[in-house]
Amino acid sequence: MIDERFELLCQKHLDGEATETERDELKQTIATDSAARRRFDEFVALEGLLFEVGNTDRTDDRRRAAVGASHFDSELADRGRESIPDEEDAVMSGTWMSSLAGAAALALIIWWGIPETPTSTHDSHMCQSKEISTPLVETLEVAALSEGLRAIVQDTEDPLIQFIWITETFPRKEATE
Amino acid sequence: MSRRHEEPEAVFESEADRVTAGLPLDSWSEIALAARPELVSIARRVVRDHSEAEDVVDEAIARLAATIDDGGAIDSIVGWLHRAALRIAVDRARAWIRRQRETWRYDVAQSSARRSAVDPSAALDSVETRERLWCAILELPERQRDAVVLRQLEGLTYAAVADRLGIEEGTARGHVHAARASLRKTLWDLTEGGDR
Repeated sequence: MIDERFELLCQKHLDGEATETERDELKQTIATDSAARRRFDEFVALEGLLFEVGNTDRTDDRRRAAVGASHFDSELADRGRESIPDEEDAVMSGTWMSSLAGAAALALIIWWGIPETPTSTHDSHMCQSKEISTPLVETLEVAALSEGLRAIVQDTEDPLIQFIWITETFPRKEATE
Repeated sequence: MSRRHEEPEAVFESEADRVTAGLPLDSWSEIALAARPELVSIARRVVRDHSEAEDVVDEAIARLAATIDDGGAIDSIVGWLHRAALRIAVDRARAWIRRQRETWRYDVAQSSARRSAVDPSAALDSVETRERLWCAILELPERQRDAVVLRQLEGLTYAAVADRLGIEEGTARGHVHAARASLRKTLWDLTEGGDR
């Protein structure tokens, strides 16, 4: 059931502050409640997007031009959305759901632990020299994996298949240590 | 409508490096210099351009100097600088967005022909949604915005966020929690038409 406590648990989990009991409770809830699962996915998706926002250079015009990054231009700068063409709305709707599919995979990775991988771009000095939280470090590593994962997992809409794929591919950390 | 910068209040609490007003010039400038790398990093999260982030911080330090010269009482140099830099950075980011509107519209026209050649879902996922989120962050209430920038974008701990903003840790958590909820809703409203 989605309530204030559930959202608090999601936040605590993403902040790396949930106890084992709370993690179990959260795990049980999202396993049995699709709405709760969806809300949890939103939390994880937002976490990943925020990380990307904080690590993007605005002058990356090549990518922006390539996809026509456009319709956000005035909507929030002026506190009022301009009308968005239906086609773009439809694309964005699909985009966000695709993002959720990717987020589901990311959530499972976070849940199962981050695998040691040579593809990780995480600079360990960052978390030593600054007050950076563990979840962000995990998110950093997840981000390095996310693009490739999304390409694979977003084609599969069945959460169970995603779950099996992820858990088979990335077993729990402690199981491999 | 362009918003003018508002100077942050001159009094802060709960700052480890609290200093008193009337500090000798070399003392406050040393504090500012020591804080500069972190300030530039934070400002870059907002303006998303390193050179402009440096300009933001230099402007904040110049304002600090002017405030001290005018005899303003400042309890926390670092806290004052963080809040000033964040405000300047947000104003500059908004100004940049306004300047880019026409360019972006042109991009849309130019890219529409290319759109069929790319995977719109994957491309928009990595660019458009992120850009929308950036705008949404800029429009959050000030304390929520500052807290989410420091916590979510810069990656500071809640204790560090509270320290930089001169607030209690629990308050910092509350601001971040509220900001997260608002941003999640914004994303859903943009993509789902707010139908839930």
